[in-house]
Amino acid sequence: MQIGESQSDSNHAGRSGRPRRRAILAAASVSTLTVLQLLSSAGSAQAYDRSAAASYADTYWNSRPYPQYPGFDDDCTNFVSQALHAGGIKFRNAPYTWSGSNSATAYWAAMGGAAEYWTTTWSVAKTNATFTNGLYNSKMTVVPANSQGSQAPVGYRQLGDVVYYDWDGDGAINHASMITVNGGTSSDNSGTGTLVDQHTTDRRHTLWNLVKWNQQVATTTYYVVSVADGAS
Amino acid sequence: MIKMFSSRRAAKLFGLVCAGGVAASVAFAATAASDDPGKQDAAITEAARLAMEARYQIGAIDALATNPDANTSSVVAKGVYTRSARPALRQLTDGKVAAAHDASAKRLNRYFTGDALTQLLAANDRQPERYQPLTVTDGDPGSPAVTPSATPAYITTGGADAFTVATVISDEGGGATVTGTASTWVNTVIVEGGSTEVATPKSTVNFTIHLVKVGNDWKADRYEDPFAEGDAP
Repeated sequence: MQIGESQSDSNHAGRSGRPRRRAILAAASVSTLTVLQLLSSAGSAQAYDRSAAASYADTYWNSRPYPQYPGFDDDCTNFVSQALHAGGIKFRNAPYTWSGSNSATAYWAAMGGAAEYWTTTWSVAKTNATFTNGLYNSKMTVVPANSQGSQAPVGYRQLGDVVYYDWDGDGAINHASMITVNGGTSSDNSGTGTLVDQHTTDRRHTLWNLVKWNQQVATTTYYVVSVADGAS
Repeated sequence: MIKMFSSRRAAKLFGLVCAGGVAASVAFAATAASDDPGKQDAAITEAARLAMEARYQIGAIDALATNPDANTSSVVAKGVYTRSARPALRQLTDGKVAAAHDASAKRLNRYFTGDALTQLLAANDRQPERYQPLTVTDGDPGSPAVTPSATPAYITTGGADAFTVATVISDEGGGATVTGTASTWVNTVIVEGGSTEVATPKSTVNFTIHLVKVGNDWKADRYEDPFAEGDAP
């Protein structure tokens, strides 16, 4: 919650990744990665594998450290990025310009082990939302705090779609989760509907709106990105 | 965070005590804040605490008292209630929603001012719309039972526990910034299907609240309380 002044990017980094300074360092250093691959913004014939993304999330919903990636205290976006990558969204290891109204240039990549590199688009919810929304033919919808139901919006609740949360409704995204069940009963008695997996507070198959867990529900705005079938 | 000091000497002193840690800076802040530092700091921190309580009572149906502390008695016991056992939990009335909105607006006006007040009042104004589906007769079109997009939950009351102050820093403009941690919570009624569940979500936040003197009262004009690292819901 932040009232009366704008929220800084560094604050978001603190909540969704390690400090901003290190993330920026990583963005600058990512060109040293062994795999250098400039990808276009065009869609791929290979479909986004939703089941693989959701399966990855289900596998690692409460598992850390990761075998291939760095881990964070505020791990939500790092977790979602890994699942997206498992579903076939490729690293952007070189400056990458995505398409549409969200045109921007950035990297999207991470590596764990001895060489820990990650980008803000990988680990920070706010910039990750811009990245996923900019993927080929993907789209975002906004669900105001006064209209969240037990189902995510129609057209935005397939496996592998991503939910972003703005706790105080100030327009700055703070948290991310991945849809892993399109209609079902939660495993934590949070309700029946669209279910997600998330990190930071690790949850598996919990109701997407987090109503049972979020004391800032009165001011939380939701942003849901439907990752296009052709995104890669 | 700290942009101004009451004097150059104070700023220099602050620079020196920073190396000694938070406790030293608190002691300095108390000296800088008032001729009667203990009393003034107590008033500032109490105003900050009540402001936070008021913020977590936005949209709280049973929180009608101006003093947020008085509203904690309206907590509904955690559990799952059948439709017949607690019918009142399943449906709100327009009158009850309006009363909650007006009470919340009064509380916010008492403990906030400036931009913080403007933004929180806007959030408060959205609550009647948010609760509208819950004023529809249970089972009719538009009610949660038959309309998946209908808001499934409402708040009875809320507040902040374990309000722990780390620093109180006065500034040249006569204001003061309070930082620390608190455990924030709301009592939520989740209306769904044939039963009604009551939960009390709680998280730890790191707060930074800037207060200014308005008349005889301290009010918050800047307010932020992000979830503590690793403690999102």
